[in-house]
Amino acid sequence: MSSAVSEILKSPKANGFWQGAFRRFSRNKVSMISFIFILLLAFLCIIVPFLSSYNYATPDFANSLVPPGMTHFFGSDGLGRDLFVRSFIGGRITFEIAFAATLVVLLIGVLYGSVAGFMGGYIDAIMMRIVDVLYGIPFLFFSILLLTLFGQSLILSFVAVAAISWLDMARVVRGQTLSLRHKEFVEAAHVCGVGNWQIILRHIIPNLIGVVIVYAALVVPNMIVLSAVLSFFGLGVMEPMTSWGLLISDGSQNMTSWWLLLFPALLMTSTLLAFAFVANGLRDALDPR
Amino acid sequence: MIKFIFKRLLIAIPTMFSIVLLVFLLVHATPGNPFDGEKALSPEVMKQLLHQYRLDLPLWKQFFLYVNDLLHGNLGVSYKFIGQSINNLIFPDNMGGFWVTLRLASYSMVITVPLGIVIGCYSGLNRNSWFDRVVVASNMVFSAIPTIVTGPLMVLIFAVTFGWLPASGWGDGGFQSLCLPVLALTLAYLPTVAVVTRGSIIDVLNSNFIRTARAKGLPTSKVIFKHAIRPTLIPVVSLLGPMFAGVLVGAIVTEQVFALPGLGVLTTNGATNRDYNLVLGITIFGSFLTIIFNFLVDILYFFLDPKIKQ
Repeated sequence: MSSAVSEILKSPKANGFWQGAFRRFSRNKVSMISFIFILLLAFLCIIVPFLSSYNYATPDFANSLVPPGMTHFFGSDGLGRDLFVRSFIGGRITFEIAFAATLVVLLIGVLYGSVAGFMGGYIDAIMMRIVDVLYGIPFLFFSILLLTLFGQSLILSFVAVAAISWLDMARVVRGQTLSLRHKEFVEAAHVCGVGNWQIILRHIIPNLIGVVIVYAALVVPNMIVLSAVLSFFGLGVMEPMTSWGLLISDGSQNMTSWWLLLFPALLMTSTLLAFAFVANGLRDALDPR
Repeated sequence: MIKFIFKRLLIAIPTMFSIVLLVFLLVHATPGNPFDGEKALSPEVMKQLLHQYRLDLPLWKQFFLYVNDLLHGNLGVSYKFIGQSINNLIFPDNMGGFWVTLRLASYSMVITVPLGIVIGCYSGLNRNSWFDRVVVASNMVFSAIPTIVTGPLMVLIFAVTFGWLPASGWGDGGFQSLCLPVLALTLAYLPTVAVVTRGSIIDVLNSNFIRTARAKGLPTSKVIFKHAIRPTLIPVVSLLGPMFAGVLVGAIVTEQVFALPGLGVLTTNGATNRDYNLVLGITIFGSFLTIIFNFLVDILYFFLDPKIKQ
């Protein structure tokens, strides 16, 4: 046995798909920096509210609308609350909504798309017609309708956001499943008498992970934007709790205190850009094409 | 041609019907009614109210009557703006409601589409020039940043800091008060149109029939305007359908940002007052517009792409 072959046998996973993908991603500097930035920001959102001496909800009327400085890093709002703490607690809520909604989108979208694509025939046709119908409803109206109907709570606001965002995911997953459906390993499983559900869960979905991860990186910023838009309509997160959307909305009501708008807007913008770069890097790293 | 339109209609009508059914059921199958929750009404008054708004009928009858109303172009009555029909709220006699939204959306579409196509063609023809790089980079940036951020920031810069333009409100509906909202909305969609056009023209210029045209010795301008433009526009047109739905929603968000009295304010009023019928009506109206526009785009597509005719 030649040394090259024994080398490969010793480390059978050395050239695995995921290692290659990880290497390609980590070589992409912009994506890597963006990824680290997001992690850092998420970390700050968790710890800043604990470390700061200010509370996000307690008003302090003596110090209202203080410009940014050493006492209040980002200034204070009309009720004298520290904007630095509020920005990060708002970031925490924003991230929570976005990630929870993305999870729901992934769950519904992947299951729906893979079932439709795998079953084919009239089941596929009906399922995709339903998706087409839902596409015809402008998403903003639909989520406002959902929030009007079921009242406002944090959980419902992300369910509403997710309920209308899984359509694209289902389409993407269906397309990918269609191409997997007649691959040899799926037919082999069929021949062995494996049931349809087992094939979908064991063989189809694991092969979709690459596409799904790339797409999920695009869904998260969309969810951030959508939940922020709902805040502009007075729906979703309620005072004294806050989110970036709510902070920007409040900030745009009071332009003379520019810091109320600028800091949350900068945080949100940089996060959205970072997600866009990460999604780009993931696509380059994971997309087989 | 007629067969094609007929086929499209055959898809559009059941889609619209399903949307109405879905949204109607969603609204009417939820427990409680719009008059719960406020100060307790006496049973007689409640009964009277339910009767007046047909809420005491069985669900299928309500749905039948609602569809009947819709077919007559009537979106029903608002629960909270007493005595006002929803048609009147969406299409008021003076400036407001949908007219504001329509004006905002159409102005920005009129700017976005031609300008986006010109910019996209220019940067595709001069690939890797500095202009091209700026277009690609700004697409990356502006498709990531939503209107709710660019809008207020533009107000902060142009209205508050420099004081060139009014910050918000409709004013007399003139150029000045529409300038920033239209700009914000344009900024959100211009880069997308430009980049799709750019990608499309790059593909087209690499195709065989362009090489043939060049080999015939046609001047470059003729190659581009006679041969390359039409196939370039096909993907752009297919972008317009979903984009219109986006612009409609975007216009509503922009109204909210700039405090314009359009559909956005109406929707918010409906939502905060739990006026189901109003939100239902606006949702159905929005879906109707989306489907109509997709239908029109399909027909436009038919004229541009000879492959469909076969």
